[in-house]
Amino acid sequence: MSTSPVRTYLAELTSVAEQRLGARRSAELVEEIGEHIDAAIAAGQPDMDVLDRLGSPREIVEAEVSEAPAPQQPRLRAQDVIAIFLLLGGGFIFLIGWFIGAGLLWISDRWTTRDKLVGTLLLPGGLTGVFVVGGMVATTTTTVETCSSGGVCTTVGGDSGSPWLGITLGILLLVTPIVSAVYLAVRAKVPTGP
Amino acid sequence: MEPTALSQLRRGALEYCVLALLQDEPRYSFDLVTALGRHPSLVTSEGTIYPLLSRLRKDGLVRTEQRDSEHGPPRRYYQLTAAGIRALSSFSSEWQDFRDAVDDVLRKGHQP
Repeated sequence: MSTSPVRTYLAELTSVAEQRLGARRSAELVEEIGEHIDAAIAAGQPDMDVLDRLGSPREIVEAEVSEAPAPQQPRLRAQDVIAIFLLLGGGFIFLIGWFIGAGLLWISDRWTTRDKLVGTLLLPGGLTGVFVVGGMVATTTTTVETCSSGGVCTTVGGDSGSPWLGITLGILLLVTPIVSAVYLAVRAKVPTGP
Repeated sequence: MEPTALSQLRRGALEYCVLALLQDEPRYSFDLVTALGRHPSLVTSEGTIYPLLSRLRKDGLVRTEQRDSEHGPPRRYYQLTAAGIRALSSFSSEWQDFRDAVDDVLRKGHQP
C-alpha cells in the first residue's frame, strides 16, 4: 500500500525518467525503486525516511544517464570527408573548391597541425597540378609548322628537353595528392580530453 | 576534500564494493542497497545504486533472478557472474597496493 508522498515521488520519478530514458528502462527503474520503497516500508521504516535516503528522482535519473556509455564519435565526420575530397579534386571547381577543402581541414579537430600542413602543402591545388603541368609540357614539346602561300614553311616550338622529365613530374603530381588524401584519412583521430 | 575528487573516488570504488557484497551468495536488491547505504562515504543516495546495478548487469558482471517470496511479490536477486568474480579479484589485489601507496605518501607528507 503506497502513501501519498510515495505516490507523488514515484509519479515524479516516472515523469523525469520518461523524459530522459527509453520507455523500457524507465519502466524498469520505476519498478525497482517502487519495490525498494515497498520493502523498506514493510521493514518498518517511515516513508519519508525511505524517500529521503533514496535521493531525489532527478538524482536517480541523472545517475542512470551517467552510467550509459558515451556515444562513439566517428573518426571521420561528413565535413572531414568533404575536406579530403575537396583537397584532392576541389581545384577543378574554379580552384575555390580546393580553398574550401583547406578551410575545412584547418578548422577540423581531427588532425594535428603537422597533418594539416601535409594536407595543405602536398599539394596546393590537389590533382589540378597534373593538368596544369601537363598542359605546359604539351606546349613546350609541340612543334607547329606554318607554311605561307609561297611554300615557305616556318617551324615554331620544338623539343625543349627529355619527355621523361615531364612524365616523372606528371606522375609525382598525380600520386602526391592521392597519397596526401590517404594520409589524412588514416591520421584522423577523435580528440580526447579537453 | 573537494566534492569532485570524492565523487570520482566513490564512483571508481563503488561498483567493486557491490561485487564484493555479492561474492559469498546472491542477495536481494533491497538488502544489497541497504548494506551499501550504511556507509555514507560510499553512498549519498541509495536510489543511485539501481542504475549502477543495471550497468553491471549490462556489462555481464552480475546477473539477476526472480525468486518467490513468502510475503509479497517475487524478489529480484543479484549474483556474480564468472566475469564479475574475475573483476573483483583483480580489483582487490590492485586496491591493496594503491591504498598502501596512498597511505604511505600521506603519512610521509605529514613528516617534517
